[in-house]
Amino acid sequence: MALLEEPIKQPLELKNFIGGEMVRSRGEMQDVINPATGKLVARVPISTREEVEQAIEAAKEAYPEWRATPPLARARCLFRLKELLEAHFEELSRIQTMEHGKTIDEARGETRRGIENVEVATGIPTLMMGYNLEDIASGIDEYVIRQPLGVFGIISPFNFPLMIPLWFAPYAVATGNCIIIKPSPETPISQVKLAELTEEAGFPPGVWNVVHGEREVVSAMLDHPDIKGVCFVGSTPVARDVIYKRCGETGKRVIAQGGAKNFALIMPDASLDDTVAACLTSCFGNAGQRCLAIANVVVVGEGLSQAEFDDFYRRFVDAFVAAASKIRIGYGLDDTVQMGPVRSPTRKEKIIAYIEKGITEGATLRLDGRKPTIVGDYPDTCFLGPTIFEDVTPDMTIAREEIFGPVATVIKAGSFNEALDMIHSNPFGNATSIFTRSGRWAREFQYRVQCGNVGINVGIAAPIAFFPFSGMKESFFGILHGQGMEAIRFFTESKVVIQRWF
Amino acid sequence: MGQDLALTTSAIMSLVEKLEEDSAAFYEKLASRLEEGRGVFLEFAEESRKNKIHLVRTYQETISDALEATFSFQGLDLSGLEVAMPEDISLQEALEMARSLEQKASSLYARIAEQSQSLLATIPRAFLRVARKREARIETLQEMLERA
Repeated sequence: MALLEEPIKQPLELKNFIGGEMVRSRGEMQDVINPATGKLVARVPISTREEVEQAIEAAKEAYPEWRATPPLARARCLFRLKELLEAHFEELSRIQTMEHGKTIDEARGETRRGIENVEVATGIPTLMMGYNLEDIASGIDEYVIRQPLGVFGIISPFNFPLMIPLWFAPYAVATGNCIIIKPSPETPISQVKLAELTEEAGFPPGVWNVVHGEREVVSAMLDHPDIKGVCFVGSTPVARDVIYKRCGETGKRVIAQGGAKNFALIMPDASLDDTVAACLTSCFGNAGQRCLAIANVVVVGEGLSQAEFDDFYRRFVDAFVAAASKIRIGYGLDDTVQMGPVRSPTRKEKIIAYIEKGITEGATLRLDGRKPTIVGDYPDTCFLGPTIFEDVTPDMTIAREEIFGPVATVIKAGSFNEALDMIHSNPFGNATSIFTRSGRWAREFQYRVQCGNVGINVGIAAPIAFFPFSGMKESFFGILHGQGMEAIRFFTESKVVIQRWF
Repeated sequence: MGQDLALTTSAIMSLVEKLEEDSAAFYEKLASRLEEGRGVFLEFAEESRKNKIHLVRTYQETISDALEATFSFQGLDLSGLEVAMPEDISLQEALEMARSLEQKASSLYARIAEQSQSLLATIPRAFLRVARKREARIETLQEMLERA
């Protein structure tokens, strides 16, 4: 297979998008390296506090007119944006592969998930409707209207550079708010391209802004009184100790999504082939850099004798290891490749340190991804292969902490309850899955498990755009979630009118 | 690509885009060389281009990061899909070549449809639809062969 054509031919000099214009930053520039090829693809500015303030000013200025724009007219901008996203579908997807490293199938999947949020938000004339009741007292009617709040900040991580801001942005602007997006400086290009498309789609200047940068940009958003709310996706310490805390102190609305350590229960009646395929995709898709990835695969021996359990466990692990060992690793623009690199050498080192920790703590390394075979002639700086540990216990570091790489652990649990206890004793509660043919176990699992996103025979429990992207425990801080109706509620205030005419 | 290699959905899409494009070119060439059957060949060429659009659109509208798109396809027979047409081809030879191409293509699409059951329903349905269209060509070509 030939390599798909790269859409970025020369390194880009990225700018902020403020007030409808690409504005050169005064901040220092940082390199964005394609993790597969090791080549420079862009330089991104680390913007200053003043530049964030400029963006907030531009957004504030645009807000009164934008909120007064009829919902249908705002929806038309989103319809045009959707059409432009479709027209640039392939380009956007290939950009994600270049800046992040994911395979082209994964990148296209991300683009589609992003577009779906734009599609859902086009329904704003209905989604934003309030409700009413006549005669709450004699001759008195009461009704609720939903109103936008002003300017929101969206702070996104490196792993889904196009999609994650779209969990929030379409709903924010559809409801009449203005936004400032801070992409990850590791993967900032998709958001620049998206900003260009919003301009083409006819969003008025200042409605949709992008400011690149790091902590200073985040702090400026959190401190500024004109930012009414913040949406954040990243690590738990930042989500909890910085974003959630500071938003509480300053009275801002907040959606703060943190880390994860997701478990999958493999029940004895699970369809083995389908389960292995689902586990491969979940554990190693996006090179494991996904907050919905299964990290701990728990093989459950419920109702089996010890000999039957041992046999079932062995059959599953052998099939899982055999399938994972065949995964083709390389540059995601080669469409025979099944797994790309991790995002950076630093991330690779961190993952390797976890693998070494797993060995030290006594787990058995069944598949070692530290020295992978790479398809094509690329530097191995960021590449890792699938790694599978067995003989893992829930107290081991590799079973407790988020590794955020292509590392899976296999754990034994004698019973369903024991497996459930493992999930509940872990501080995270982002996602979980069960593989079974039994409706009883599936129902019991969804009823009792303390996780926000639950998959039943689904390895990546990713909610589609009209459902909230949930999360619990140390994986989520806030009340309302991104996507769908919850996002509409997050970005609007309910005003109640009680009306009587004399 | 060998039969043992597990193929990504993207690789399958690249393959079918090329197959439909090559098929369209093949029938256009036949139409330009052979007076007899020209109308049928041009119809097939047009249909192949529509097939390509239909399949690509379905894939792009369905693909999601949560699907098992990366590990879906295995053991597909990809031989005999490239058609090199000799300059001095007779109608009989051309029809036989076309029939062989359609047999291979319809069988491949049916296998792809079967193996993509774990993806959303739209994908296997699209492949099945194209498999049936290409299968229907075999009958037309057979009739032409009998008349030739």
